[in-house]
Amino acid sequence: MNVKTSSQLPTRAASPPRLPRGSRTVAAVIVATVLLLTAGFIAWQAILIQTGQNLYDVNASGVSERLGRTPWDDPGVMISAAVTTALGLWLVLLAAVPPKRRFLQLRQADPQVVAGISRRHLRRALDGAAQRVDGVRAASTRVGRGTATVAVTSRLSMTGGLVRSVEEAIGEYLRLLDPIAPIAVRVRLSGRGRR
Amino acid sequence: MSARTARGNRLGLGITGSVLLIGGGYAGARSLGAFGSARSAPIYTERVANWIHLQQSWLWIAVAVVAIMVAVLALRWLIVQLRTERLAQIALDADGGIDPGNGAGPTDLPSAALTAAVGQEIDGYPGVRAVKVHMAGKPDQPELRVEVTIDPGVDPARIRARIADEALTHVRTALDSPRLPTQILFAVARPPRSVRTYL
Repeated sequence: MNVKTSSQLPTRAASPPRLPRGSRTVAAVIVATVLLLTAGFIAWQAILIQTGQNLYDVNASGVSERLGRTPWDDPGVMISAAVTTALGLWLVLLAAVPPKRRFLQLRQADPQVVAGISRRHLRRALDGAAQRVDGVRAASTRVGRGTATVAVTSRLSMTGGLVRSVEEAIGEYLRLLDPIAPIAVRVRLSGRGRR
Repeated sequence: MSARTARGNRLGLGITGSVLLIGGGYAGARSLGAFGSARSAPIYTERVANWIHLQQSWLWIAVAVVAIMVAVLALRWLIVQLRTERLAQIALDADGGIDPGNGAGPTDLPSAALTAAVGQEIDGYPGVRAVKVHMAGKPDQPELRVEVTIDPGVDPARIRARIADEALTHVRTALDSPRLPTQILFAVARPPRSVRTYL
C-alpha cells in the first residue's frame, strides 16, 4: 500500500527550474521554411516525372546538358561547394554551441527558486541607480561579461567625488540584486563639467 | 517556447547542417581531385544518366516519398515553434496536494485560479509595477513562472524576499506541497518622465 510522503513526490520537481535560454527559433523557422519549400518542390517534380508529365518551370534536358558540360573543377562548382560547406558548418555550430544566456542569475536562498534579470533590464536598473545620484544629468550603462560600464554626464562644474558616488550607488544596487556571477563596476564621467 | 522545442530545433539544425556539410564537402573534395577521380570529368556523366534511366520504375517514386517525408517533418518543425509550456490544469490528489501519480483519483484544478491569486498578492507589494504569473511543466509536476516588473527606485532584494517568503509560501500551502519549483524573472520599469533629469 502506498502512503504519500514527500519522498514520493516527483523527483524532477526537486530540481530547480532553469532560467530561459535562447532556443534558436529564428534559425529554425528559416531552415524549416526553406526545407519545406525545397522538399515540396522536389516531391511535386518527381510526381510529374513519374506520371509522365512535363516538369513545371524546369528545362530538364537543359539542366542535364549543362551539368554534362560542367567539370568538377569549374569555379562555379567550387564556389557553390564552399558556400554549402560554410552554411552547413554554421548550422552545425549553431546547434552545438549553447545559446547566449539572456538572463543573469540572482542568488536565491530557496533551492527550488531560480531568479534572473535580463541584461536589458539590468542596464535600465543601473541607469536609474546612477541617475538618482545628485549631480548626474544622464547615465548610460553597458553590461558586458562580468562588468558594468556606466557613462555619466553631469551638470555640475565641480565633479569631484561624483564618480565615487555613482560607483557606490551602482555597487549598492548590485549588492541588493545579488547576481551569482560578480559584476565589476566602471564609471566614466564625460560631457560638461568633466574634471 | 518549450524545452522540447528547443531540443528539436537543435536536432533539426544539426541534421540539416550535417547534410549540407557532407554534401558541400564532397563536392569541394571532388573539385580538388580527391577520391582519385579526374577533376575535369563532368558532374553529370553518361553513366549516371544511364543508371537513372534504368531505375526509372522506382527512382522517382522513392524521390517523391523521401521529399514528402522531409516536407512533412519541416512543416511539423514549423508548427511546434508555436508550442508553449503553459499548463492549464494542475493534478491534485484526494488530499488536495499535488498528485504524484499514485493518489486515489486525481482532481484537476484550473491553474488560472492559482496564478490569479499569486499575481494579485505580488501586485499588492509596494514597488511592484506589474506582474504576470503562469504555470508550466506537467500537471503532476507543475512549475510556477513569475515575471515581475518593479519600479526603478525600489529595493529588489525586499521584493524578491517577499515573493519567496510570502507569495510562494501561500501557494505551497494552498497546494499542500512543500515543493513547487519557481522561476522569477525581474524587469525594471522605465522611470516616469517627470523624474528624468534633462537640462
